[in-house]
Amino acid sequence: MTMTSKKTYERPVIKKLENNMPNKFGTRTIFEPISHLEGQAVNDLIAKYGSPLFVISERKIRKNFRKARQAFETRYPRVQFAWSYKTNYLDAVCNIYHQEGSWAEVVSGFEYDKAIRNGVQGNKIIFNGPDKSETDLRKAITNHSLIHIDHLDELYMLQDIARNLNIRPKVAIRVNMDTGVYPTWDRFGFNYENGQAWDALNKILFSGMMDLVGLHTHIGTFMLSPSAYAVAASKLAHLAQSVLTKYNHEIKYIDMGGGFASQNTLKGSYLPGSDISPSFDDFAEAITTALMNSDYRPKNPPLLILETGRALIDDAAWLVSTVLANKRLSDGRRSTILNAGVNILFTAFWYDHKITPAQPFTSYTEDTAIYGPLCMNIDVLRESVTMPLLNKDDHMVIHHVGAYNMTQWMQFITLRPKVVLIDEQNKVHVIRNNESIDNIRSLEHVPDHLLNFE
Amino acid sequence: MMTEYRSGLLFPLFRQSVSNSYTQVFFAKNPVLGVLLIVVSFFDPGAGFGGLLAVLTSNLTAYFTGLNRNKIISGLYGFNALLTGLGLGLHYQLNLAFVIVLISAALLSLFVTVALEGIVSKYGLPYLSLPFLITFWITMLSTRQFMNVQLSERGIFTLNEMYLLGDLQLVKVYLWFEEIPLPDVVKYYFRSLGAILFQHHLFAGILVALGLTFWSRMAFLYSVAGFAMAFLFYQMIGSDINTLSYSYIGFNFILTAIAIGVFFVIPSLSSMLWVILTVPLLAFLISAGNILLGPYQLSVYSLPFTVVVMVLLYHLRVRERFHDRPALVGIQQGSPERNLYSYFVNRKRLWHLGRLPMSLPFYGKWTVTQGIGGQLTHKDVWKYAWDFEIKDEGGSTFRNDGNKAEDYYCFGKPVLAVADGFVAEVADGIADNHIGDANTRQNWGNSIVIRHAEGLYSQYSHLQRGSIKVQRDQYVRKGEPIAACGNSGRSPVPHLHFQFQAAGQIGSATLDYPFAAFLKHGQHQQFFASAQPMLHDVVWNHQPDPLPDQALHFVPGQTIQFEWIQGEKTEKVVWLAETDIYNNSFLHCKDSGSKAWFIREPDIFYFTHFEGKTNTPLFDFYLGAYQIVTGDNPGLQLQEDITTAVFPMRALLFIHDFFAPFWPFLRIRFRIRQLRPQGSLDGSSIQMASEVEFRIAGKTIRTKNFHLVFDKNQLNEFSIVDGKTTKTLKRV
Repeated sequence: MTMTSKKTYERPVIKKLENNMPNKFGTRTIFEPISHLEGQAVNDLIAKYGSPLFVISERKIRKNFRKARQAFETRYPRVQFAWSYKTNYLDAVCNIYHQEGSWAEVVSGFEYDKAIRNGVQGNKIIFNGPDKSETDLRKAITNHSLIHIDHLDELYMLQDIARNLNIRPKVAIRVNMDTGVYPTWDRFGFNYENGQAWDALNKILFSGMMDLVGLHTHIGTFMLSPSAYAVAASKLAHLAQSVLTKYNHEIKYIDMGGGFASQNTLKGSYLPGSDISPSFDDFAEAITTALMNSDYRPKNPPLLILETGRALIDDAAWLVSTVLANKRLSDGRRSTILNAGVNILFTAFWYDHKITPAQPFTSYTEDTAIYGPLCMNIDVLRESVTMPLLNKDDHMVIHHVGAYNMTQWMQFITLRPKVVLIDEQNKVHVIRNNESIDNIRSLEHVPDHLLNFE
Repeated sequence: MMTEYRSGLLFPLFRQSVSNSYTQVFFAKNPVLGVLLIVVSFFDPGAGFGGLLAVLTSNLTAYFTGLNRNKIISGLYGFNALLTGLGLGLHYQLNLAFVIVLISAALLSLFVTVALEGIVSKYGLPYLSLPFLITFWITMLSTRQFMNVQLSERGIFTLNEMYLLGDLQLVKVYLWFEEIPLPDVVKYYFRSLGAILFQHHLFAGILVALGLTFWSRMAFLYSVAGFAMAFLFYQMIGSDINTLSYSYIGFNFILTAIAIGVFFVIPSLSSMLWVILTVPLLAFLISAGNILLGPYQLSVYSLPFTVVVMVLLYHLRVRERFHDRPALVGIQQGSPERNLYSYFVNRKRLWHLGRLPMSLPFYGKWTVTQGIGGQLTHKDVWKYAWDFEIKDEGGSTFRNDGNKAEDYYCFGKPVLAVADGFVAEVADGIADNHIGDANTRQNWGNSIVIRHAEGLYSQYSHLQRGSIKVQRDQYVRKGEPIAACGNSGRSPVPHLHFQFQAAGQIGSATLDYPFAAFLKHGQHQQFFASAQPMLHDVVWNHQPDPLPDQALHFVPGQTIQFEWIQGEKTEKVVWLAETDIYNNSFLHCKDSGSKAWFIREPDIFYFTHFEGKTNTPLFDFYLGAYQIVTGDNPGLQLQEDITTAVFPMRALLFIHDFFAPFWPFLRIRFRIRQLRPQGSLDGSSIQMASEVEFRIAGKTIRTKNFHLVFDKNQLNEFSIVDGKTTKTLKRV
C-alpha cells in the first residue's frame, strides 16, 4: 500500500449535537439509494426523457390489481373492480386495468368520454358524482351505463330524460352514512340514517321508469379502518333487504366504492403508512364478512363492486427529479431545491412522500427541507427530512406518486413533464409527452387590438 | 296427440309393431328390412302365414292384456311368436287344427316372453329367442300326439311346389340362383341367413343380406366375419361345415356376431375379438346340444346363440375395469352405426349426466397442491382426494415469511358446501398447528362431512378451529359457507383437504367422483362440464350468466317463431319446445317433422341428437348451437365432435360405416367462442360465433359458420354462413 489514492471530496456537515442521543451523529440513515426503477437506471431515464419525469410500472400495477382481486374473489362469489378514472386517467394506465377485467368508474362527462374512447362498453361504465349534465346523462342512458344518482335534482332530471328517450336507465343511488369514522362524507349521495336514502329508493321504484340495479357508497378517503367498511356494507345490505321485502325487487350489485389507504404516510401521522395501512385482505375480510353475515337473502348474491383507485396504483409510480441547488436557511437548516414541485406533485400537500437519492451516498445526513422549483412559498415537498449530502445535479426519486398526481397536476409557472411506462419486459414507453409552449398557447387567443405594443 | 293415436288401426302404430316384430330377429327396427323379411317369409307361404298369424296373435294379446305399448310397437313381444309361427308353419299343413295350435303356441310364446323378461331383465340381459326355443320345443313335442295336425311335405319337394306356385319360370329362377357359381362359404352364409326365417333358398338369404346391410353396414360386416371365422374354425378342427348348412344352425354364428360384435356392444376391434372368441363356444353348444336333443328329434335351433350371448353380456356387464374394451351400449338407439357414432362423441361429452353436479368448495382461484393418487397422503383407499391452496402471482402460497398460519393466503378463507345436503358429522376444537408441525394423532383435524345422497358424502378437513358454522343434521345449501380453511390435523401448512366418500364417517374411504362446471386457468381458459382437477391446476367455479341461461331455457309447449331470411326470400319458421314421456326435451319443427334433442344443465346447453331433414334451419341450429356454456366468459372456447351420423354426404357415410369401428375417417368438428365480453347487469347482448367443420381423413372439405346473438333474454338472431351464402333466422 505505497500508493495513496485521493479520497472523494465530501462537503462539511454541521450538525446540532443532541444530548439525548448516544451517537454524536444521531440516527443512521437506513434507506438505500434507488438507482434503478424496474430495471431501468434513473440516470438513463432522465438522460433520455428529461427531468422531472413520471415513471409508471405496468408490472406493479398488474401485481397490485391481482393481489386485490384475489383478496376479494377468494372470499366472495362475485366480484368486479371498476377503475377510478379520477385517480389516474392516462389512457395507457386505464387500459391496463381494463385488460385485467376492470370496468370504468367516472365522475364527469370528460371522464365518461375518455372511457368510451378507450373502448369500454357502455354497460361497463359506472357514472358517479354530483356533476352530470343533461347531455352526459342522455349519453349514459343510451349506452346502458350504470348511473349512480347523487341528489334528488339529478333523480328528477333522469326521470325526465327517461320519459323523453323511452329508455329505462340503469340506476343506483349513492348512500352516505355514519360508519363511526370522522369526517362523515355526507355531501355526496343520500343519507342513510335520516331516511333520505330510503326515500330516494322509494321514489325510484315508484316512478317505474328506472331500473334500480345497485346501491353505492363511498365512505371516505385514505381510510385506515376496515371496520368502517363492515358497517357500511351491512347498512347497504339492510337497504337492499328492505327493497326486496317491500318491492320484491333484487338489487343486482353493491358498490362499496374505494378509499382504501395506500402505503403513503399522511402528514402528521406518527407511524409510516407502510406500517399502519391495512392490506387488501383486511378490507376484503371486513366487507365480505359483513355482506355474508347480513340479513340480505336474495336468490343470487349481489355482485360486489370495488372502485378502489389509490391503493391499486399509488406505489406503481415514481417521480424522478434533479437537484437544482442547496441552500442554508436562516435557522441553520439545510434546504435542497428540486426541479419537481407541488405543481406536478399535488399529493405533497397530503403526504410525507418518501424521497430517496438515485445515487450512492455516505452515512452522513442532515435535516433538510426539500423545496420545489416554483417561485411560490407553498412549494414544499418535505419540510424536514433526514437526507444525505446532496449535490447539484444529483437525481432523486419520489415514491408512491401514482394516485391523483397525474390528474390533479397543473400547468403553473412551468410546463408538465413526460410520463413513461415501463412494461413487463422492462421496455420504456412514453405514454404522455411533455407539454410545449405551443400546446398551451394554442388554446389562447389575443384580440387584435392587443397584438402590438411599443 | 292422444286422439291421433286412438284413431290408429286397432292399436297405435300397428304397422310398426308388425314390421318391428320381424326386424327384431336381427335386433333392428327398420321398415325396409321389415318389408324384405315379410316378403322372404312368404317364400314358403305356409311359414309366411304361420309367422304373420303368430305375430298378430301375440301383439294383439299383448295390447289387450295391457302390456307396455312401446315394447309392443318395438316388436319385442312379437318376434318370438314370429319364429314359433314360422317354424310351425313350415312343419305342418294348413288346416283348422293347425291354426288353433298355432294361435295357442303364439300365446304360449308371449307368456313365456313376459315371464322370461321378468327374470333376465334383473340382470340387465335381453331374453333373445329363448321364449321361442321353449315354446317351439314344447309345441313340437306335444303336436306329435295331436292327430289332426299333420306334417307338411313341402320342404321335401321344393321344385314341385315352385312349379305349382309360379310356373316353370319360377323354377328356372330358383335353379339359376342355386347354380350361381359362388364359393361354398358364401352360399352357406346366405343359406344360414335365410334359415333364421326358416327359409333355405339362396335367394331368401341374399334378400335378407340386402335388408341387413340396408339397416346396418356394421351388422352385415360382423355377421360375415363371424360366419367366416366359424368356417375356418370347422376346417381347422376337421369338422364338416356342411353339417352346419344342413341343419341350418350356421345362423347361430351370424346372430351372435351381430349381438356381441355390434348391437349390445359398441362395434370395435375388441368387439371383433370377442366375436372370434364366441366361435368355439357356439360350436361346442351346437354339437353337444344336438346330441343331447337328438333322441327327442329336436334341433338346438338358436339355443347356442342365446346361451353364448347372455353369458358373455353378463360377463361384460360385471366388469370393474376396461369398460371401453369393448364398451357396452348404454342407451340403445337401435342401430349399431348410431350407437357407435354417439359413443365417439358422448363418451367424453355426456358421461357425467345423471351425476349430482358438485361445485368446488371455495370462492376464487385455488391451486391443487396434492391431487388424486398424490405423493404424500392420497393413497390406497384415500386416493380420490384433493388438497387446495391459494397461490399468488409468483406462485407462493404465503405473504411475508410464511411463519404464521395467517400469512397463508388460504388460511381463514370460506369453505363452501359442494352441493345441498345434511351435515353428517362435525369435528371441531382441534388447534391449528404451528407452521411445519403436524398433528398425526387427530390427523383429519377439524372436519365436516355432508351427506348429499345415499352413499355420496363430501368431507372437508383441516378446518380452522372455531370456524365451523354448521351443526350435525343441519341442512346446507350448495355454495353456502360452512367453515374457514385452517391448519388443524395432519397439516404442516394451511390447506383444504377435500374428498368424496361413500360413507358418513370422517376419514372414510374415498369415492371416485367428479366436480361439475368449473374453469381452469392456463394459457387458454378451459371449461370442464365434469372432471377431476389435476395436480397444479388452478381452478374456480363457473358462474352462469342470466342472459344466455334464460335464452336457452325452452319451456315445454313454448312456440319459437323466426323469420328465415335467405337472400331475397323470407319464410316463417316455427319451432315447438316439447318433452316426451321419458322427460327428454326437443325442439320440433312441425313443417319438416325434424327434431333436435337437447339437455339443459345449469351451466351448459347441449344438443344431443337430431332426427329428420338436414336441409332445415333446425338442423343448422343443432349444428351451430351444439354446445353452449351459459356464462359470461370472454374469450372462452369450446371444441366438441358432432356425431358422424349426420355427415351430409350419405354415400360416403355408407362406405364409412364399414370402416368406422376400426378407422373412423369422417369427422364433424364443432367450435364455439364468446365474442363480446358482457356485463350481466343490463341484459343487453351476448354474441357467440361457432364453426362446424366437415372433415374427411383430417382434411376439411366444408365449413359452416354460425353467429348467435342473445338479446333481451332470448336468442334473437342466428345466422349461417355456408360458403358464399348467408342465411339468417330472426326472432319474431
